[in-house]
Amino acid sequence: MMVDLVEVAERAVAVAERLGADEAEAYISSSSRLQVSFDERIDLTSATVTTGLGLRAVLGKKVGLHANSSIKTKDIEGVARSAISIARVSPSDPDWFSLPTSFGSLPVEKTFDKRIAETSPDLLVEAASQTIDTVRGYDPRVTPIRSTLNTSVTHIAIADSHGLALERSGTVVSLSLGAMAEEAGKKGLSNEHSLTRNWEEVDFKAMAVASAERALRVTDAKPIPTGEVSVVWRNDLFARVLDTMFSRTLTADSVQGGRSPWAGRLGEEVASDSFSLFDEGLRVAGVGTREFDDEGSPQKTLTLIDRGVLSNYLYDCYTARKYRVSSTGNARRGYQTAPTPQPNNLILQPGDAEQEELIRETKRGLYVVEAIGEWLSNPISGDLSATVTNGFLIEKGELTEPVKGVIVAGNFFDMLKGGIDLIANDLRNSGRVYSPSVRVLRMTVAGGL
Amino acid sequence: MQYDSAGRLIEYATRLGASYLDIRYQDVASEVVTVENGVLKSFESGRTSGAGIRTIVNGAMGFSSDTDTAPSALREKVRWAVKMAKASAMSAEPKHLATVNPVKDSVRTPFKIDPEDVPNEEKVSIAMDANKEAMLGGEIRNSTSRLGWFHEHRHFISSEGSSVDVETVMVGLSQLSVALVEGRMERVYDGESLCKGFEFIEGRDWNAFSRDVSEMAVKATKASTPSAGVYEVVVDPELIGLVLHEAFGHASEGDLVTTKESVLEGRIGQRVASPLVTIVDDGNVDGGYFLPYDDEGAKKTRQVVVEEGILKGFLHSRETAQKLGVPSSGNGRAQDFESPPIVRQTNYFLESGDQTLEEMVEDVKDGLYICGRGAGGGQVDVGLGTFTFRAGPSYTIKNGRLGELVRGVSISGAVLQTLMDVEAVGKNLSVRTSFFGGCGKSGQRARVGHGGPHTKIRRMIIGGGG
Repeated sequence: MMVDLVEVAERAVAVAERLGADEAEAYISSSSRLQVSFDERIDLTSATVTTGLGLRAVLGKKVGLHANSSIKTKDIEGVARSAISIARVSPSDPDWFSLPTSFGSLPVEKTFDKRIAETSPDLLVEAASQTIDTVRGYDPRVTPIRSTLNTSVTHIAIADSHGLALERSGTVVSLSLGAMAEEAGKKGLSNEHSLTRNWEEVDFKAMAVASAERALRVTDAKPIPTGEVSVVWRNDLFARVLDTMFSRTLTADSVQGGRSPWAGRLGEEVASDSFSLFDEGLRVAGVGTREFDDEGSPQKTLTLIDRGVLSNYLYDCYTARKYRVSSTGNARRGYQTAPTPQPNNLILQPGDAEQEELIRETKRGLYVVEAIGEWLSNPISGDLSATVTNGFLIEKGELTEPVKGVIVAGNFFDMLKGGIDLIANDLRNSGRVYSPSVRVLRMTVAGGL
Repeated sequence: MQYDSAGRLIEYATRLGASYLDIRYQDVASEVVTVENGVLKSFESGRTSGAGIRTIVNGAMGFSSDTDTAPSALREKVRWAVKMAKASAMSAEPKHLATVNPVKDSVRTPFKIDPEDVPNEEKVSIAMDANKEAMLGGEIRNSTSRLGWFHEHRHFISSEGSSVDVETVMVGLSQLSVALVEGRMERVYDGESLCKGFEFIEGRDWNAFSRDVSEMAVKATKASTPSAGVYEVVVDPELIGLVLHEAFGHASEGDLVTTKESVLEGRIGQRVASPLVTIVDDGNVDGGYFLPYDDEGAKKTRQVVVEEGILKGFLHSRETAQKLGVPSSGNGRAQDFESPPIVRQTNYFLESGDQTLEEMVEDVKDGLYICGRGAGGGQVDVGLGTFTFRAGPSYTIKNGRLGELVRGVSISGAVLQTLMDVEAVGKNLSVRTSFFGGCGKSGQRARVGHGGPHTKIRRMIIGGGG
């Protein structure tokens, strides 16, 4: 970095204090991203640089936040004045205690890849071109569609009136690969996604082959009749289900605000004893792993559901203070927003079974690889539904016909209490949520127009 | 000043070998006031500015952007955009853009009161009042109210001589209410937004609005979920726009058509919907999002996509228009200066017909009246032609009459089937947009408008709840 971000953050805090803030906190982010988008050829190559300063100013128990995409010295005073003027008109928050007064940072592994930080567009273009060749080389009937490969490097600095001054850097590489097969006027499509911290973690070839192979296999997909069947969810898709169902409700702010179905239920058996859920803040190469969270608290491993028993919520400093506990290191924010508690690396404890066993153990069922609309499910009532876009019928333990266009539905809370009867050992992430493949013994399938 | 420095950047790019360059400056001021359970949870205010630069060199396209818009920084970004284009020149698809006439214009949303001039106390107090009003005794466990606005300038300048300045103001208020009744929890979310000034906020009864949302949440806790199956449905005007957006809108976007991904590819002139269906995409409609020009400096035209059931045209950026040999429809939109323009809908709606709601419900034996208030949104897989969305609390229809309230209604259908199954279209058209929501595509969010009248559809798949 050419600019010393900590120095800018400390200067912003000092300016806010000089202008009358009782306390102030500056959060600065600076990131640069390279992206190649492609289908059967390279579409567009881009490079973006983004900076931002978010300043929280406190007057008594009144808090104001102002953010600006400029981190130049000349703009800092304006940001501080705005934050203070907002604090001035804000009603007092009786639960406000102070900005974070204790902080710390812990060593993490494999969250910064020098190769990504120093990469050039040529590396991405080369990798994209090879991926195109792999997909096309797999079978002439398949082409890549709407695919992107990007890398980013992000630097964060935080400083506050209580002596906090920390900075961290991280890298991410993301590949989103679509493949389309055309055969006898029929089309099959499939998508594979990967989001990791290090370049070497991306298996370009395996993803290209998997998407090409499946696109070809689903050209004849059709709905199956309405009824009840066992459903095997692929790991990364079930990670998205877990994200929808837990990420915004296992947080202390939703519990304290009365918008969580988990409120007041610590110690209660909410799932079967084979179901354990963790937030592993220091996971090696974890997508959400950081030396410290967005308020300067160290991250850690937290058990949320311990063999079926609800055992903890996710806290930031504000919500922790309210319940007289310590922050769990789960504060997350962008520079434009105030921090809230969110999972770092949410992990469903894998089981012993191989993924193939889940299918082999199923007499009649549906293996769901890709779906849309799962994120529309309701984490408050537990109503879960998803529309299958890539699926296969399971008959006598074997994958048979390709399936699409049916809605699978069930109640997630019932699924936790025994509905999920098999958990595989194949942990994989979608964003910051990691899940193995699972089987749900019985779900409703609506289909067949 | 921007124009002068842009001129120098264009000259510089030409020297580096660029055959085309455009620069998009953007500056946005925005605020979101969040009140939860009677306490101001956050007052977030901010200002973002930056510029995005797009160039074509040897047929390949490159893009770069920066939040630093100083001339020296942007000069460096021109160099980067050219470098990006050159990096892929060997393996890129040659880019050609449909011709647009160079335009010099400056347009702004009609607004009276700039939200920036409204005292912050007033914004807090409106959100606070609405929030408290929604806390209906013990049954409402959470009331979250948000008041938001933005005031944006986008300035597009191209090497072809265009300079288009668009100023947009948008305001909105949203309410989330979570009810807990006899151990059953349910939430309802709704919002009202408009491309207008703060006069829209001051002219509306937000207390009544937020109270309604809470009342619906309480009712919804007592509702059951419908059983899975195929139903005849009547869709309300708040939801039909979402249905249309997912069931047809995305499939009519030119980029998905030219890659042959969309199931509508090659079907111009064919029947794709019932003769009752006419669909339009327009950048300036009452109640919708205001978009006079897109982010390629092309004028947004009123594009008829389907006329009386026949597919007439697609939505286009300059690139996709060129591929199909038609003019751009002004649908090349970028989320912000950091994102390159891609084909997006603007206000996508169904033209009105001649039926009343009563007439439509009358001859449904066993169906559903599906409603948009509290709906979650939707998603489509354009290639497979499968879409899904989630309705808000809705009603059963039994023997021609509205019946009980049902919740958790998820719906799925096929792009090429659903609009064929339209049996009746209502009289009154309404279009809505949202400050808080938006439509996601290729990692970019765009604000859109959608709507239509009451519509009856013969068959839709309804997923059963748990």
